[in-house]
Amino acid sequence: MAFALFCAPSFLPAQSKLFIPMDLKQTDHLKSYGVAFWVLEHNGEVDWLLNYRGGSFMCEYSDVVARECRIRGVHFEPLSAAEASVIFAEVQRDNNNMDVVRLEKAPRIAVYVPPNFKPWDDAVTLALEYAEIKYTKVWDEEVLSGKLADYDWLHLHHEDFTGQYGKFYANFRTASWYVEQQMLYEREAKRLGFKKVSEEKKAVARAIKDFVANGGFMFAMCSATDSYDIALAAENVDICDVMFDGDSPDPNAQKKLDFTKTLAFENFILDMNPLRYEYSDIDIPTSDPPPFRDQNTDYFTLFEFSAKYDPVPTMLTQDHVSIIKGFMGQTTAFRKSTIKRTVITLAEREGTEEVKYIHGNFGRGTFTWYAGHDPEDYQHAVGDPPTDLTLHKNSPGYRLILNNVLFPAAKKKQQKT
Amino acid sequence: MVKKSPQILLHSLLLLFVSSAWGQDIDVATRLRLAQSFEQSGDWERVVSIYEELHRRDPTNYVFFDGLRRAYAQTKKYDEAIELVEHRLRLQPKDPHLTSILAGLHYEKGDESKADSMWQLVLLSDRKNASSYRLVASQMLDHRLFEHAIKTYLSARSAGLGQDIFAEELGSIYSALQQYGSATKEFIRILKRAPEQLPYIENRIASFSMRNDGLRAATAAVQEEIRQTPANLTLRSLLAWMAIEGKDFESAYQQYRVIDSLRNAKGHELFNFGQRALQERAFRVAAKTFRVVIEQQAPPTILPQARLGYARAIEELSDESDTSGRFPEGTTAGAQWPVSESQPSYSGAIALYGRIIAEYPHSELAAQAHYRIGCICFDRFFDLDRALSAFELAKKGAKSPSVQFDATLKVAEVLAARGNLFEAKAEYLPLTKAAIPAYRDKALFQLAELDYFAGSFDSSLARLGLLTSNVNIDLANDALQLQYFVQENKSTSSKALQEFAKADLLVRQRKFSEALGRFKEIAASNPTVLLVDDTMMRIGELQLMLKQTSEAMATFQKVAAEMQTSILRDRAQLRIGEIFQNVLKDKAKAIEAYELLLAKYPNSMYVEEVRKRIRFLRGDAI
Repeated sequence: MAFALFCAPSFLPAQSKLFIPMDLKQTDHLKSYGVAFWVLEHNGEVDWLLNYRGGSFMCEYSDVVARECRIRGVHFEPLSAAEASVIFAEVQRDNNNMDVVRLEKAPRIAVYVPPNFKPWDDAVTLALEYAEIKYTKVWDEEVLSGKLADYDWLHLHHEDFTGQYGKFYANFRTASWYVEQQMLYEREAKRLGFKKVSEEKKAVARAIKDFVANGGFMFAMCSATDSYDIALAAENVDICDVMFDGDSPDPNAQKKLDFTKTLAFENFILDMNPLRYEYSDIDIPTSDPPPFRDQNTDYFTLFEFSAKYDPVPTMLTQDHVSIIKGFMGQTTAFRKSTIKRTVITLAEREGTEEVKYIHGNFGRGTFTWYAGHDPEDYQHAVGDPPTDLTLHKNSPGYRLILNNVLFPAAKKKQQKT
Repeated sequence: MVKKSPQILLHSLLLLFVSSAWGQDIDVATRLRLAQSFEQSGDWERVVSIYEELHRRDPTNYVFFDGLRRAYAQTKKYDEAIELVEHRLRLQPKDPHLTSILAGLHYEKGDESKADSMWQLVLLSDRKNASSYRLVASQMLDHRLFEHAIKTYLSARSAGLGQDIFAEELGSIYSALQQYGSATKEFIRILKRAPEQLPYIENRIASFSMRNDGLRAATAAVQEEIRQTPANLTLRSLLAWMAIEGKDFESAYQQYRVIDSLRNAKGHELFNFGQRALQERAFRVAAKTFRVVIEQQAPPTILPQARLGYARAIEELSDESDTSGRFPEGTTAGAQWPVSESQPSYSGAIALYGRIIAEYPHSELAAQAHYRIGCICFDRFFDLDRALSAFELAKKGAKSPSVQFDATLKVAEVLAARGNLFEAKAEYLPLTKAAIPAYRDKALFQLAELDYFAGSFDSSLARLGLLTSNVNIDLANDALQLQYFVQENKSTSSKALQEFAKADLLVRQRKFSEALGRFKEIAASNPTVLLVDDTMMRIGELQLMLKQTSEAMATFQKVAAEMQTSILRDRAQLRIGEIFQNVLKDKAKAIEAYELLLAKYPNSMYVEEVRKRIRFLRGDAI
């Protein structure tokens, strides 16, 4: 297939490179990532031109790739070798905050989701499906049996790693989906040898931490972020109330949290009231009661990094705009004061305590967490219809998700510092 | 004065005592509220201290005891909680409620066997008391011990409390555990006891019948029960309902046959089911059902409607075998394709409608039958005389305004197809004042079309303007399209437009060969007019209809390749792809043609559709 892809004769032999601009000229930003991934899958290489026209892509020209772009609705520009050289020269000029990162291999992607999962529950799987990027679903058994080692990138669905079933108890305890989910999780926990779901989920959280420590890339959104760190901090303490695990929580749970075990957050205060739809004070503004905000004035700002010196945060923040529409979720944003100092802030709501997008290293791997549920659905509620991404082909918020998917494909190069 | 002093003293003492006791009561009430408030906010350490104090003050008070018990349990002070309950049990020995709670505390502490033995003790102490089982099972459910709760409820049955006891509770637990077969068996118990609960039970089963495994398990459970009690009508109704849920109308029909016969319903049950099947487009089953109703000599209250239902089902079945009006998969809905590819037989349906007319003359049913005959004659056979006569009869005989309006529209349509434009207009005009907006708009649009066919473009535009001023109406798009076409060509090539409209009327009259000739003449004599590309497109479409495939291909290729200024080049390219895809069945060439459209016309309105088609042809899993 690689042969077919890159040796196919082109209509116009003068064309040397296929350039996919990612600025406002692009007709479908999200599918552009899919094309880049498709080229990698077929053993091609893609250059990611950081900060050049919104973080554009360039690869060898072939009619096969051009055709694929057309079929997927991705705008591209055929370039001659000379035109491509001009672009490369501009990108690599010292006084430009741009750089080239070569993408070499399609990452192997796993998405952590329960068996009854529907793709519209989660923005990442929606984005992957829309961009036509292949992924494998894994759940507790695969994670606990070490199968994560087969993947480069793991996305966490809007999972609750604390064993409190998303803290939906107050509003949904009689809903059939809630009852069914609790039963399903309990059965799975028992089958895997755990007495409680919370214990099983903590074991899963630890296994994911090992995956990151061994060089894995972890991406999480919404409540999978704070609930994950809470589960790690509460490794040896019961924080679940009786309706979740059949017994009362430890009255001294807060004092017994171990923040040295977490990846991103520290010194947070748990919200152990089972009737409140909130895990802790990491989430800001609090989800219970839901905040009243005018979505027309809710925006967050991406930080700018040095492309040549900080390529990783630069890759993660590639976008055609730097100010992005805000969106809520069970975890809408991270409280600045609870974020560890070693963690890099990638985006925040300016002038507030609200951090939207963070990145950090752990062991040989990295984690990137993005707060909020769905970048194109301001206040997504249980039972709401899925977002139709054909209506949001140029979504800057969704682009941030897809930056993460391609980032593990980048060839490591010598740091300049 | 002196005499009064002991009295005053007594009163004062009494007042002091009362106010002190009252003050104490207020203090207790305040502290209890405080404890409850801390409980709500989850500040359990404070809750413990307040309840301890309250309980010390009044150890007999159940509210204080229960609050303290809850607080101890919540703070995992299980030993204290156990001691507290045991102390209370000494005051109320063998209290089943307290013993059950105590068992729960032992379970939470981790002593499962002790918990279990205490729960058994509660059950053994009064084996004939249903409340004991409910009490224990409820404690078990609180601790999410579902299997234990099931066993407890079932043990009530073996203790002789009846085989149906706790069916509701067991049904709910089984359902939550996704043991749908067992859940259904419990619901059946309820149904056998109280058949009037059928809608409620259907509702319960509906919570899992949308899942394939749920529906399968539930169906198997009901079928098994029916084998034991074949005359149970409620169960058969339940089974029929489940079959309909699963779109298995044949099985539902089998059940309704039995139900109708056992109930001696004289076809009523079957008739109602037939209507449902017709509504759900299960025509074969609907036809079979109505036929049985008719053959059974159903009462006159349903027989005429059953006959009409049967005829409708037969007509629809004829439609199913007719491919003439169907577009091949993956083609645009607006595309026109060869007609009369197959000649289905509607004779059965027409004969049935004829019998209805003969047996119920001058009735609303007869009017409907006339209308249906008209539709078959017009839409399927294009037999204009017969269609007109049928629609006229329907119009005359109908009492309901909608049948009357529908028939009038059809009369006008047939008249237009015959070329009687003035007569057609006369039919449409009264409808423009109809109370129902949909009929009004339809009549207005048809009048605009008639004006267009007749070359009265100003009049046509005036009518179209009325429609396009409200873009919310259904016909707004069609009206806009015609309006744009007329406006664009009226001023630049009025004569050619008139010829074009006449040729379009021929298409409406299905005189395709004649229309093709006219369009060819227009193209030949007006090579530079604006509408030459539209003319070429019409030529191509007609050639395609007349199965002149290679000619059609050449026409579309000419538009796509040679008419550089035409805005229809993308549509012509689309048609080329469609010919390869649907007529010549050449996938590779079709993909190539569609890809050319993407490459040459990236901003075309067809690109999204074309992308889908390429992916469909490639077999992409999208």
